[in-house]
Amino acid sequence: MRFKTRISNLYTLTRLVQALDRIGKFCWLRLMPETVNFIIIPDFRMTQVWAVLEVETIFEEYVVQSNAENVINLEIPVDNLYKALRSAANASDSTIRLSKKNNQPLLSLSTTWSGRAFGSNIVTHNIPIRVLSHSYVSAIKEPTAPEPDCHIFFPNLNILRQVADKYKNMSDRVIISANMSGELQLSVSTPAAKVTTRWKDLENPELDPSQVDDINRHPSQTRNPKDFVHMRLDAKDLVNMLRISTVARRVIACFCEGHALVLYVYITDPEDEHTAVLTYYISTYVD
Amino acid sequence: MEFVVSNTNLRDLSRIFLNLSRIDDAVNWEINKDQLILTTLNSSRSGFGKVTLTKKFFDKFTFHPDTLFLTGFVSPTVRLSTQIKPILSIFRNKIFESTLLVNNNLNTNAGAAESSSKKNVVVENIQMQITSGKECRVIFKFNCKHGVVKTYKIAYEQTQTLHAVFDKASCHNNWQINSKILKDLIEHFGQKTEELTIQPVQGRVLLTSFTEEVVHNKDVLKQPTQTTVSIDGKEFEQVSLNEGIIITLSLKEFRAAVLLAESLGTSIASYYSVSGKPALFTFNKGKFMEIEAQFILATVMGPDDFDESSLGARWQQSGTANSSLLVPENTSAAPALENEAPSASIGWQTNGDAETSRMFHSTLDIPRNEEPAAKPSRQTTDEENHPLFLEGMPDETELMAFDNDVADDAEFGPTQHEQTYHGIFSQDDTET
Repeated sequence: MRFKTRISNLYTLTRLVQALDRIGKFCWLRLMPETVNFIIIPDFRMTQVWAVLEVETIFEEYVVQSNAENVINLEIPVDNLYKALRSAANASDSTIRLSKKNNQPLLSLSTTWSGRAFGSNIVTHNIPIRVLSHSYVSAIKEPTAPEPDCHIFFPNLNILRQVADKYKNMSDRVIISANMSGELQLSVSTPAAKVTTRWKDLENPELDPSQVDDINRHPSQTRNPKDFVHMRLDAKDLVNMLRISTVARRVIACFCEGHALVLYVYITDPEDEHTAVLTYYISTYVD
Repeated sequence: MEFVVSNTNLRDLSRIFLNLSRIDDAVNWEINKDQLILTTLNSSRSGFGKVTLTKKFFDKFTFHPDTLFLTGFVSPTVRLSTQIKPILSIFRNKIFESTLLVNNNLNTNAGAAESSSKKNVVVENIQMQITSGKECRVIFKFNCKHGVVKTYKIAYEQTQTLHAVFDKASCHNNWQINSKILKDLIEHFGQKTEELTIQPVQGRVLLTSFTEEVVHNKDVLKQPTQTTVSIDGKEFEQVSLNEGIIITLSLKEFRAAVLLAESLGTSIASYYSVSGKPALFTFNKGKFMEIEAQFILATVMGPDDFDESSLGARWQQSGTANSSLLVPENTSAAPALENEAPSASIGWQTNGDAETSRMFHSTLDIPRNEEPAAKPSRQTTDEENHPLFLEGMPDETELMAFDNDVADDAEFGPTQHEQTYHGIFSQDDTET
């Protein structure tokens, strides 16, 4: 079992792990030959994140080898990884490897700094991790959601985040609504006040015929475009999810009424050669 | 008695107090006709900091103490002790540069985060006075811009002061490095790091973090990250180390020394002999050595008694062309050391008591409980760890490839002993 790689995009990886730090403490890192998955399913919380990144978006000289079709599953503490990545900022070279010391598997992050006297200083962080077996991870499945009633591109996440931050102070529940005419609403309702923030002229993504069987009968197409789908979310969940705004490029929100809010957060642009997308499954409340 | 410090040295003075406060809450003042010495000793007697400010550091230095005050046979000395926290708070939010330099230095001043706010006062000089009799106070008068004078009175008590003993001549291991380089590198160590191990390996100096928390039965994923910093020998101004000598000391006090050296903008030199014996970190500033600092830290006793002559190769290099530092292997290093700063032998002095005794004797002789378990394992793994310290991408042959899936995996299979899992696995997994 072997894994080592050089980090080509430290900034994105650091911001990604920073956003994941808000969702849960431990992350399942699945390393495959072409893609890397970060999966977080926290205890007792509602939001799950399933991220799929093509290797080239963050790594180069990537090597993964194992007897199970070259897939390695690791469980890593997110905050330790974040701190290690943060300390590597501005270094000339960073590599990550799977290693072991005293029977303890470790993720070793090594960064090289060029010193003043043309020497090179190396800082290595050894993070204790766990290696997961295949039989164990095979039990974990990605959540399935029904076909969404509405899907829409989110506006600039930074503004959404600021609004959500303020709402968090007012109430535990935030109501998020959208329709197929490009309108989005975030609101809170407390005994003292009702506040609504509205966005309009947003885009509703087109369905891809190759992925959907019968477009004309898809719930998002058959409903009245002006009808809003309303969902109640936990304010903290929403704020934690919006932390990804630092690296998010485009976000598609899928509203599955009565079930969940599924967000596809792309951290790459459509014209980029390789894609990286995080899927957030946020449960809704039916209070 | 009166001392005046002008603005050029005020920032240094505030940094001195700040870093001595990392060692202990109280600071001892010893004043004689030539200098003012500030010392701190931590409660476990494992860390000692001493900063000597000569007369030249001050704009004005008058020493006419009340005879009742005096102690010491050798030269009349005043010895007091004050709490350091009140001193830190009076130095906070003060800007010590002259008006011309304010714009450049606002952000670097300690505590001047809101540099543009009116809260920060530009100080031109500080006058320090010591009063006795009815009120025992050290009086700080901050003469600020626009004629504003801020006066602070801090209580003191007369004390005996303890100094650490250190025999530089018997220390065959030393190095010297620019303190900014060292400071930038030690910032990589995590918050929970308690101790640091320093050892030379293949032309590099390795600093490894150690935290007590690493306990075998606890949750693996909650253990702290272990960090190693490998400094290229070329970064050092001078290195003279015996391979195989490893010292371990408390990070907190080491950091205080490095931070002070960095804020004074000097290089820091280190002298030590073997694990278990104290290590000295020293630096000075000024054409006339107006500021001289010494930090003496206890090191953890190793499980084996190191006999220096049986050790591995001696690594020596000097960043300067000064070849007189090079010394043939088996002779004592004393001749080399004589070319450096005058050998210090700090007296173990209490008032009127001329007897010397070894300060760190007690901390070193008490074996630490975790030691036998922790130290050997750390030492053996350091050998295995060489691959971690090489440059660039690790060698293909370093990591062993495995034949089977994890459970049968020769390297990682045996690690699968825990049955408790985390969030991902807390859902009901009847299939496992």
